[in-house]
Amino acid sequence: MEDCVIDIKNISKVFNPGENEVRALNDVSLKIYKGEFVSLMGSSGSGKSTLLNILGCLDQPTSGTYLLDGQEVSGISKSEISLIRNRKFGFVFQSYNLLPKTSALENVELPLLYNSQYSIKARREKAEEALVSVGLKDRIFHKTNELSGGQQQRVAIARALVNEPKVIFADEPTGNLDSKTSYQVMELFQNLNEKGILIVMVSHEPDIVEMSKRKIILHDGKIIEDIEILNPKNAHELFVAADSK
Amino acid sequence: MKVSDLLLSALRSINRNRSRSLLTMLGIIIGVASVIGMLALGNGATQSIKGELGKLGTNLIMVMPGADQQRGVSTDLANVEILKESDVKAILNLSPSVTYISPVVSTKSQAVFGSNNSRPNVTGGYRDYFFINNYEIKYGQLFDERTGKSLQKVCVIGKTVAEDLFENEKDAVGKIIRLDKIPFRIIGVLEEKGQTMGMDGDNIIIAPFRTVQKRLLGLTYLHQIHAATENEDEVDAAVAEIDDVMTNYLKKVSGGEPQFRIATQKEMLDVMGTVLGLLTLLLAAIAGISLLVGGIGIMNIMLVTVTERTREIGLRLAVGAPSNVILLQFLIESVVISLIGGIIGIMLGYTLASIGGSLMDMTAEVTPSSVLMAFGFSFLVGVLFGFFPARKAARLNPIQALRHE
Ligand SMILES: Nc1ncnc2c1ncn2[C@@H]1O[C@H](COP(=O)(O)OP(=O)(O)O)[C@@H](O)[C@H]1O
Ligand SMILES: [Mg+2]
Repeated sequence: MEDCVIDIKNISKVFNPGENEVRALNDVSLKIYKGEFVSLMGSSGSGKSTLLNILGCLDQPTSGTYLLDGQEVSGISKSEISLIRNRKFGFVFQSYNLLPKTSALENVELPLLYNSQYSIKARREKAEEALVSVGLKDRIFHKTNELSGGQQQRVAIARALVNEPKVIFADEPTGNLDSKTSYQVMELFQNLNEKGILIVMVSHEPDIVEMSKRKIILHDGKIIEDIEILNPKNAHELFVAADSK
Repeated sequence: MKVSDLLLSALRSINRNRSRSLLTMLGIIIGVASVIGMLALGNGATQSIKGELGKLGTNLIMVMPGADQQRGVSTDLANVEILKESDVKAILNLSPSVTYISPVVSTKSQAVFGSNNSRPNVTGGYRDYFFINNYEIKYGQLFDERTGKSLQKVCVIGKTVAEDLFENEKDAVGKIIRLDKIPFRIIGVLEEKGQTMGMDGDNIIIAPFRTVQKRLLGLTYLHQIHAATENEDEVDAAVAEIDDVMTNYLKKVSGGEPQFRIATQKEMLDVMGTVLGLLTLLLAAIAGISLLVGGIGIMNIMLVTVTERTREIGLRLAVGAPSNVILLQFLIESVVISLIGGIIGIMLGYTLASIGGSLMDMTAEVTPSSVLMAFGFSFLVGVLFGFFPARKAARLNPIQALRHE
């Protein structure tokens, strides 16, 4: 039980309570352990993003309990939640969400700005390190709008891991990318997971999901399937194969 | 996030929208410039008027016939036969605070020397009259008798008169001029006094009191009594003493109402100061309204900025920016805009004040306190009008903000 990082019980989320009520999540319970690489699947509107946002403490459930590292999230203050998002979590979005007309470096530095233990110099070093680790050594000073989609998503991943998070949440990280670039991104995730970072990813692409270790399928706000992937595909091999074609 | 980071990010954001920021600042610039300019000009005017009144002698106390002006007495008060020369002696003896005293009679007269002539104000007074009214001798000397008992026909003339009658004012001393056909020997020429409240203070001839009273005017009474104390802080006491002497000893009352009134230069200075102060305040208040309008402009543009950068705010919140840091970021941005506007405004106000000052021929002084005030006000405007947009930014829901198009 020590290893349980995320533990939600009977979580529901209702948007627009009243007449046009939408029950995005309906009594969802789920446990995620250290070292896992979880995919959330399901058709559009099934509640994947809503669940991911709640797990990432970006949104609060209407009812149910969420224990993060054994601590009740609803009892944590707003500023403490900000701190958790900053130090424990990294976020990757489908649309990258980079600051326009700003260098890759500055984008990656962003989470460090809210971590006062870093000096300007340390901030820069950390950000450069993160960019190198996602293979963007020669794109550090490029403005984000000068980069390709895959490169932009790698900047976003660098930003997510710069603060050395425990968990990375990714909402359709390959949704805007072609399959070859998707494999590159997945390779990064597999490497990070290898290093012990817990990854929770939303995706509706079956071949992408096959690269994770666990697949949870949602339908109408309920978990209908939760299975372990016994032999996850290796993203690097897939990339090499695609590259040689 | 450190304050230096926030400041840098604010400066960058302002720099990215340079022309828009400048237009936003315009309201503050105009507001601050007019506050600074108005206060400087107001101060300049106050100083110059006070200076002019000061030339007349700040310790001057005037006793005049007639009741308080408020009662609206319609007769020519100067000619009411209330004040006598003996009153002067009584006041001097009974008022310990009064050091200098002189009866005053005055008239407008024709002065002739050879073929030149002049139309000066002729005043008769004791030798103290010069001390009371701050007249200084430039050439020659003052009367040798304190009260002018022996009806000497001598006089001291002002610069304007000297220039009207003589080629060179130095030559005036010792010359005989005619005042209303009566010959007077010039014994002194006064230092220049300049314009005082729009009147030429040098177009004057001062002669011994009795000579003017008896020879020139043929009067038995006098027009005014001028007195002065040694120090300014004795003026109030002296006024009270004179009032007491006039009322209780000399019995200058009729039907319970005093037949005289006492005015002091200090009083006039105070009134002048109050009026000018109010005027300055009014002008500054009007300028302050433009500061307010400038503030509303800042609020408007900050709201636009927050809307434009909603996704960025969402992202910052998502990566762990505490909402109070977001608040501070936008607050600092509006304060920086406002302060830059304030600084430009101060410089512009300074320029306006010196141009206005030289146009109006006075020294318009920009005081450090008004600069400080302008600076403080622009800071305040930035905080007050930046707060609402900044709070709006800080209260954004990160998910909705990230979805914003
Ligand atoms: N902020 C919101 N307000 C109202 N309804 C919402 C909101 N966010 C999501 N929903 C609704 O909740 C349901 C689940 O949405 P979401 O979790 O985004 O689905 P997906 O699985 O496609 O990511 C959908 O029906 C969606 O319309
Ligand atoms: Mg979604």
